Amino acid sequence: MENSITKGCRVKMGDQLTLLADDEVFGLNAKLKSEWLLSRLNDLTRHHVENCQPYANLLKGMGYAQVAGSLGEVPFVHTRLFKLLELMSIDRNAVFKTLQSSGTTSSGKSKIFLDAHTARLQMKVLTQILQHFTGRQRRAMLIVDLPPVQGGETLSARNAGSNGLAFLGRNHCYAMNTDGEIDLDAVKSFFSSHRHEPILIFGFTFMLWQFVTTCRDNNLKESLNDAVFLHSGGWKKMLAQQVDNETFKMAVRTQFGADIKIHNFYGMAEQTGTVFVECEKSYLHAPAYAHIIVRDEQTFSELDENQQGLIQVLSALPESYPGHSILTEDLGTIYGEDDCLCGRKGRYFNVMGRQVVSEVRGCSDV
Amino acid sequence: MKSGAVVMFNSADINLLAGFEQLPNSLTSKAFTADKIEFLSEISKRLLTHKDRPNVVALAYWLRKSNVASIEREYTAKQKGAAKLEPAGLVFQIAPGNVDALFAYYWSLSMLQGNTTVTRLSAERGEDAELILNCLQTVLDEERFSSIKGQSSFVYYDHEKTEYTQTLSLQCDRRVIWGGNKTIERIQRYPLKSSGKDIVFPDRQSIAVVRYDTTWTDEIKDRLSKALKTDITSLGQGACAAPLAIVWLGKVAEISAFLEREWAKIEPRFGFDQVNSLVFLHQSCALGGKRISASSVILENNTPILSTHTRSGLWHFIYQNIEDLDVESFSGIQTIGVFNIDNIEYKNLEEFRSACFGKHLTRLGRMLNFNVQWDGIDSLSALSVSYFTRPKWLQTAK
Repeated sequence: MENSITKGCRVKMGDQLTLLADDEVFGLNAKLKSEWLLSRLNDLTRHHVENCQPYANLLKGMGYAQVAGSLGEVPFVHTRLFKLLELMSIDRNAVFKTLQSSGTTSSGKSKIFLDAHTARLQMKVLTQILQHFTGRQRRAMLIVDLPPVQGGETLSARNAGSNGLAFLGRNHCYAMNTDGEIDLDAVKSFFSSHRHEPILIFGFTFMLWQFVTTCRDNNLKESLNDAVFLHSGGWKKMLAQQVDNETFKMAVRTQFGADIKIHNFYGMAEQTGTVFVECEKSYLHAPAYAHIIVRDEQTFSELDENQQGLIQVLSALPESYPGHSILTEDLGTIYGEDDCLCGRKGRYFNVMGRQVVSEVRGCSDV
Repeated sequence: MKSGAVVMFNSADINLLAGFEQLPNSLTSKAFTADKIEFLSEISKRLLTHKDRPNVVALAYWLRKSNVASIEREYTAKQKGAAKLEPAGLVFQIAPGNVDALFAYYWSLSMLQGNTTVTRLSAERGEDAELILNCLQTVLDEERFSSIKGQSSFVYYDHEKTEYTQTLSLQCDRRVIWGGNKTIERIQRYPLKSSGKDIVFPDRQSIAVVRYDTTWTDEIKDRLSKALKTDITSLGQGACAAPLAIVWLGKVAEISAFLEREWAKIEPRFGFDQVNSLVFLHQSCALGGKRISASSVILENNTPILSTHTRSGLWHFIYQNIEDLDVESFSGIQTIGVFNIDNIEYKNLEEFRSACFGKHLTRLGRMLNFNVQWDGIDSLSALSVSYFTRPKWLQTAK
């Protein structure tokens, strides 16, 4: 694969990925998108077959076709494979960074191998997608997490994740002290020094909830007229507290103003960069760089809209590892394509949680 | 007589599930006494009524009088000449999470030999374990079995409460650890007293070996699939003795054709989970396999290490003869279950088993059947001490 990344594609095809123009990220209709994305995904499949022997074996052994005629035919690998095998399409010496994620269902951590090129690609696309919602101007940013540990190598995955998005903003302020408590003085001072500017508040869903309730309990009310709340992370802990997305949004708006933009986003370590962001109508949207398919839990065949099943994610980015088409363990429902009332093109959907996997009871359980 | 220090099994941190609430003053009693055999027979009768629970029924058969008598014969046979067996003393057993009835097999052997046995049950134990424990509790409470009750305790404590593991490890004479490598590693952090011994059962893998014949009738194919079903579904593939792979012996072309043609019809009987099987297929194909059905893969030119098997499907290997198998790839396997193997081939298999340090050769369909000899350990010797009586000088001195 070529190493250059240029921007401003008007839906061209070819071996190398040219970044889409900003208005194309959520602006390609199904026909245009599938032409562009399918060609790219077929290129990626061929690339990984040529450069990753286990992946080539997998396709051959499973009888999966290398060239797909539609997005639904792009061969997928199960997400747990990244826990079982070290899959990469680059020389081991070219590994720039290894992402590890634990997932929740089965033991072991998945390992995702990035070279500098794929890492850069992920960063550029992540920025492009999120800036669609936050604007191109960097906003003053409140990060609802602990401040990064100076020089410490033991960053938790969560801490690393929230600091990984720091590039979206400027004048960063951390809303928690090192003990993990909400630092109300820091928050107040952040609000007072940026009262009349656009701001960005980011955190994991569960932390943001803790932040909002702490502000509520301490009567910290602010009228933020141009603020964006970005949050990600599962709803499991939230639903355990009987907090769904609507309750969450209501609480944020009560505390900080009715016009606040709140966007949840869904993504996975296996496909960093291509995230699915929630729109004003409360649906997650596939950007043109990515696609979503829902499959039957038993037969794995593609399901129609409005049917719940296993989520398969496709991404135009992974070049250093064969992760451009992954069957996840998340359950979701697609509601439509190109016709969301928010005006964005692409498939829109929701995630319902994680599939209950029947674990094989091994000897080693105690 | 050995005696035990006071350890109470009924407090806020430890639950007595059945048996005696503390270690008895005297840890040993006579082996194979009438009340012991009668007790097991009584348990057996009660468990036999649970016809809908095959693993409970299997235990009931094991505990019935005729089987106990054959164990006693084996025990007696070990005491030929000057060699005699005596109970080891205190046996501390840590039961596995996946095989509910296993604790009762080993407890019964320990009890018959006159040991005091403390069994720590797993938090993961299922309904079969509860049923067996309830039955034990009821019968142990009968007055006539009070001496057996005094030497048997079945407890549960959270495995974070390591002080119990620590105390019992220091006091016991034999520590029996089921539960695979991780459990063994965790428990062995706690030292035994210097005369104590560990009996451990690490992670193992097992295989089936089948000689294929083109003349097989539907009836034979049915027998094969029933036997496989028993070994795969009784305890799930997580059990060490359940087959993870089938080694087919015969002509490669004939067997491949048979598998491609018929396996997809046979396999659904084994009840594999679809998603776990998909993961299994993807991994096995990445290792060079070829999918033949929803949960099966033929591996023609390589034999991946069995310990990497994800236990949700079957690997199929095809060889002309047993001599063609690579011993290295099967090193350390536990059970080999055979089907359609004649006498001559059985001898070759016996050599193969020995060469790859396999522990057990049996018929397909019986791979999970518990035996006094298990995983290479003779439990009659392991749970007792051996000594010499009437040494030669005493016999010859006049």
